[in-house]
Amino acid sequence: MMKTTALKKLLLASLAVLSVALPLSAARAGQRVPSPVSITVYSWGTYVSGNPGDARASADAYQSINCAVNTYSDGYQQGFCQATNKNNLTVSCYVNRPEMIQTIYGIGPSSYIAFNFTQGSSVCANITIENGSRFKPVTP
Amino acid sequence: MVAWAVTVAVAAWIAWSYQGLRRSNEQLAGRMEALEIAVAESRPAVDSGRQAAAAAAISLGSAAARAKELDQFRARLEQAAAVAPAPAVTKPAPTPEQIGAAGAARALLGRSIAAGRWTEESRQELAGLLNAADRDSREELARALIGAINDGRMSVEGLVL
Repeated sequence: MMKTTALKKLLLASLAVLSVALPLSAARAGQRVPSPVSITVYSWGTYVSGNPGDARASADAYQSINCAVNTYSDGYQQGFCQATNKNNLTVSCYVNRPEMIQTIYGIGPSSYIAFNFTQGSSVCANITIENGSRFKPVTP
Repeated sequence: MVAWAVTVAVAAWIAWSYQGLRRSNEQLAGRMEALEIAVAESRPAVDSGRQAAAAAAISLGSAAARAKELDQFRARLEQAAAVAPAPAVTKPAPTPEQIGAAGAARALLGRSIAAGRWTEESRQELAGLLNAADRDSREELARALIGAINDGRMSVEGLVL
């Protein structure tokens, strides 16, 4: 009899724990990849990456990652990307190739942005955009 | 009597055989003549066939030679293309206004590098000057500006370009 009571208590306690834990885990479903602004210098050049949503929501007042396209009155287009990390270090590169400018146009509210440039060059060697659910959307 | 009859019979047989052989010989001669005529008549066709075969052989040989020549010519063309300089692209010379705008932009960049700061005001001023400048100057100024930022010679307070 004593044994049955103990088992019942254990069962009730387990149910109580599950009833609290299950809704919490359901609320956290889905893959999330925090991507603060990262600037890494390699022997070949500099690699920059980050998510605008994470940069905007960061605790420091420096982080940002942006790309933009300037179109001049004669139709010439020049794009550029720039990023500032939590230590207030800013780097940038520019592009004038139409294909790379098209890539910049693909940036959305929850994009992951990465770009790189070789050492001593101001021209972007590569721009990568990932749009998807893994990254935090920009929120006010 | 019997001997005489046998002799006459043998003579008759010999005469008959001779006549048969003669007829056969004449027929054979006629056939030979017909064959000779046929051979003579077919000779031009044979000659023509031989000539066609010879011409085909010559044609095949010359086609192979032409293909080889074409390959050599193509190789020479590729070599020439590799060595030859790219055709010159003629760009219009910058106008005095463009030269002036580019000069003002260089001066702005110089002042900013000296101050160690690239402000939003600087960026806006540069935007107007770059619009008035020629394309080469835009490239040159973008390189210089971003180079100074990446080198840490200027802090950035807003957008770069």
